Amino acid sequence: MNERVLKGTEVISRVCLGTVFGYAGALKLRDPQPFADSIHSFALIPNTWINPVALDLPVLEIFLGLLLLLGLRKRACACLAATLSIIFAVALAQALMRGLPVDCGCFGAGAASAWKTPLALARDIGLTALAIFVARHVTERNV
Amino acid sequence: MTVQKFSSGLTWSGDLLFICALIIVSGAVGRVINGWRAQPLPSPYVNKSERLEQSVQPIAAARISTAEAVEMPASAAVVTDDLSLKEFQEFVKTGRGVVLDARPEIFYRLGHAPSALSLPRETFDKAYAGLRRKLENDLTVPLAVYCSGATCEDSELVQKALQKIGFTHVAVFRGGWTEWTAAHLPEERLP
Repeated sequence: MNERVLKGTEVISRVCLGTVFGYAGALKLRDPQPFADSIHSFALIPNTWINPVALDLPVLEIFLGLLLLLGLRKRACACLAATLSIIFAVALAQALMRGLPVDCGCFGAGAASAWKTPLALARDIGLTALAIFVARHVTERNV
Repeated sequence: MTVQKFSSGLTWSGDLLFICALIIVSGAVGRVINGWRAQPLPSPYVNKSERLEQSVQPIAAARISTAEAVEMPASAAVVTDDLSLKEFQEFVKTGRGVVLDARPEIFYRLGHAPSALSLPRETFDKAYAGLRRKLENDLTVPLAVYCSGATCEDSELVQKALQKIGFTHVAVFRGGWTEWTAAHLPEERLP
């Protein structure tokens, strides 16, 4: 594929990832309690871990978003974005399979609903694909 | 120039180290920000039901201490029926009781069932303080609580809290706002 097109796609993917992670982190950081409730609804991690995750993850997402937007440490950030997206997707998929009424909490408070979970799962798969593309492009071109 | 320097010629171990450092820094910043909050998140996690229980206890205790002032019929039985859409619609239409919206206030502002009062689960104690006089005149008045829809638990939690305070007729409309709007029924909004 044309090098320019690839470079352009990488930049667009990075900006998309950075915007989504930064925005999601900012919304959750503003009010972490609903996010902690969302994590609890997944019934995946012990109660002692819920609030630390609810406090730390939004900050990590904001830093990750900023670094991706600025184009700093692109490969590391893309790998971390892919890892986080995979973790979110696995959490959502297991909730769907177990029939848990979860609110993904991806963008702050919300109510659990039957259609939102598959939509969030699809979004996470899309984000994973974008992050993998950025990581691969950076590795192959060493840019 | 700086950007290129940061992003080129990196090793996988360098990336891994960077990710670990980012996670540690994020954790530290997260804790510092939590320390600055007016209401920091406690550790360990306290679930919705327990938080509501904690905020209801002082209200229930205060009401019991003034119970003599509020006459309660000795025969008042606790009624906790679920309302279907049709029953809830009738309840709203006839105005035979008080309709309570247990969703966060922002959603109440955007649209609620006609004549419904806002009593969010998350800020129950503050919202209840504003409704106290109106509601505690008669603890046997029928109350109907709703939240977002069938999967939300807020209406049920608010129902339990109201029962703990002493209300005897607290019903839940499980279909909630989703079912109400899907049926294209009238709604009110706040500016």
